[in-house]
Amino acid sequence: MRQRTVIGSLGAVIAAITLASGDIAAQGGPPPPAAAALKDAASRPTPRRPGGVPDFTGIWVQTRSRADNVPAALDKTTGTYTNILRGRTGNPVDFERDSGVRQRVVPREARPWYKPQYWERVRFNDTHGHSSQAPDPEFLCMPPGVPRLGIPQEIVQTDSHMVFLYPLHTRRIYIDGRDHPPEEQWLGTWLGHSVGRWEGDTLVVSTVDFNGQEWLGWPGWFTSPDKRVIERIRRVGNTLTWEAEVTDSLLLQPWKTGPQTRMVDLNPRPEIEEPLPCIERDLQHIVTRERG
Amino acid sequence: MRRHPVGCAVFIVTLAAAVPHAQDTDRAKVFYSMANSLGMLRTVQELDSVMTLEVWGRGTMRDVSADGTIGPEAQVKSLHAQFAWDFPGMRVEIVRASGQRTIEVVSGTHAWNEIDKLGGGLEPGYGSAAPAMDQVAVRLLRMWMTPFGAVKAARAAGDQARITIEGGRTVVTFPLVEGKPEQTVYMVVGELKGTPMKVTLDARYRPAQVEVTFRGRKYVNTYSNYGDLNESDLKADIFVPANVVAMVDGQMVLDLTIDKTNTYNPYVIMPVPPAVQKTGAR
Repeated sequence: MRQRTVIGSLGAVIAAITLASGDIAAQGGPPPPAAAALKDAASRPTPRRPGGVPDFTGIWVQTRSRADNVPAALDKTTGTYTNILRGRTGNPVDFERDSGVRQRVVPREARPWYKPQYWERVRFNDTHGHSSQAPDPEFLCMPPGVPRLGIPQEIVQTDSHMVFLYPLHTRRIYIDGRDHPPEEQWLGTWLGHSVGRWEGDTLVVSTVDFNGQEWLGWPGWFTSPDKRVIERIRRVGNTLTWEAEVTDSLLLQPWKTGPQTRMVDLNPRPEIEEPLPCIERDLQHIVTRERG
Repeated sequence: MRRHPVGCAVFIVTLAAAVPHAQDTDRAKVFYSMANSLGMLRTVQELDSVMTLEVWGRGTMRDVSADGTIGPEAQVKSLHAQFAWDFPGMRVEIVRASGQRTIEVVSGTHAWNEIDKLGGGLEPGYGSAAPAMDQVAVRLLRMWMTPFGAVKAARAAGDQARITIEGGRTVVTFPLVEGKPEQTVYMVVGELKGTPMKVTLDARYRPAQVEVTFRGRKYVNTYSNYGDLNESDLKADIFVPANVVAMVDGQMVLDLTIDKTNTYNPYVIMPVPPAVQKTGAR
């Protein structure tokens, strides 16, 4: 039990920090982007490459200012945190239960509509997602897959391809007009094979060739190797907006996620710190299925 | 092991602060306590966070036919009910001791019976769905009469709700109203619109009895022995009555003991099967 408490507390603190800084507006937690800054960024001219297409190159940062990220329980008059765990009572158990309940509040259209023969498996995955019975692959430090990776942190663009950089992962998007390899040559990968084409100023990225081990999301939303993803990415001024649509033989209808919007980092010499490696250490210590 | 006394003390202090005076008639305070006592309000912002729910139970029941005739008592070997307040919808699967199995669904303004499989009729070759559109109002009524349904319905009624004290108990009376889709509830009441619902609360402001008269019949549900009925390693502090008794015109139609719940907003969806959509909406 002591072990559980320690892990629960650490997990809660880490989750609190994550909640305060992540691009998770769809989960209902953080405040909306700083609208004025976003509007100003969008009003700037859109940089273009010699061929006329938008230039996505840059580091793309979250649209909320640091001032938006303070935990809800910061007492601004004293500068102290009264409830850093953002739970009802401030204790780790309540935090985990609140978070576990709250993170599963996903609007009906934002939940993937699985075919009924898969409903029970989704529920099983969900309630066993942090156990060895049906571990969330991301919890095991496997790649999140597409579109769970979300909007890129950095993009490097050439005339033939783009490189999407995420904190721990890299994707290559070929924009030289090639098609996907024929299906018999597919390998079954975590991040798939991606090709892009321009529709006006919107880059439309098609990704196939998945291994079916990646999940769409935290509450047990598993996938199959049939999954196909279409991402639509548009630069307007200094903003980048990303959204994705997933089709999969497991689903009754396509599933959409996003939009997420980021602003370009205007620092003339921006840097990104090396992220910590992902090392799974918790699985053997988790003794309940409560997970938040 | 040290966290339990500390956790209990924090819980008791919180509960003492949250529960209003036993006979409070302040509408906002009563609404808050109704939701909070069921564990619906979560995070620092205290948002209604119960969107979906599953319960499993057993007991006895009597069928109520369309003309109001109440059938003989039958043993319910198992009952599995799913709620998705955001559709809004309810799916109830009952297996009787005789082996007879029924799956009744309502989702928004559609009602149907799933044949053979949960989700039957949503895709070719996987069970089927038989429209039961004449059951929409009664199934919606059953759904909004559950403890979570009643609390959500009362809050939706807002200023139209009246708080009184009867026999020392707080009573909330309100008309069923339609609402816009919200994150954890979409108030769809169809033909029930304007029907008065009376909710009598227990000492902790949880629904103890819910009464509605609709189409000349009196429906009364009583709820007792609330607890966190999730499995021991999946507790969520969301409280569901272990005992449910439903009466129609004074006769028992369901006497249910709930054994298990999943209150962690489990994956529950209620799409309307194509064959049912074709029948139109009520």
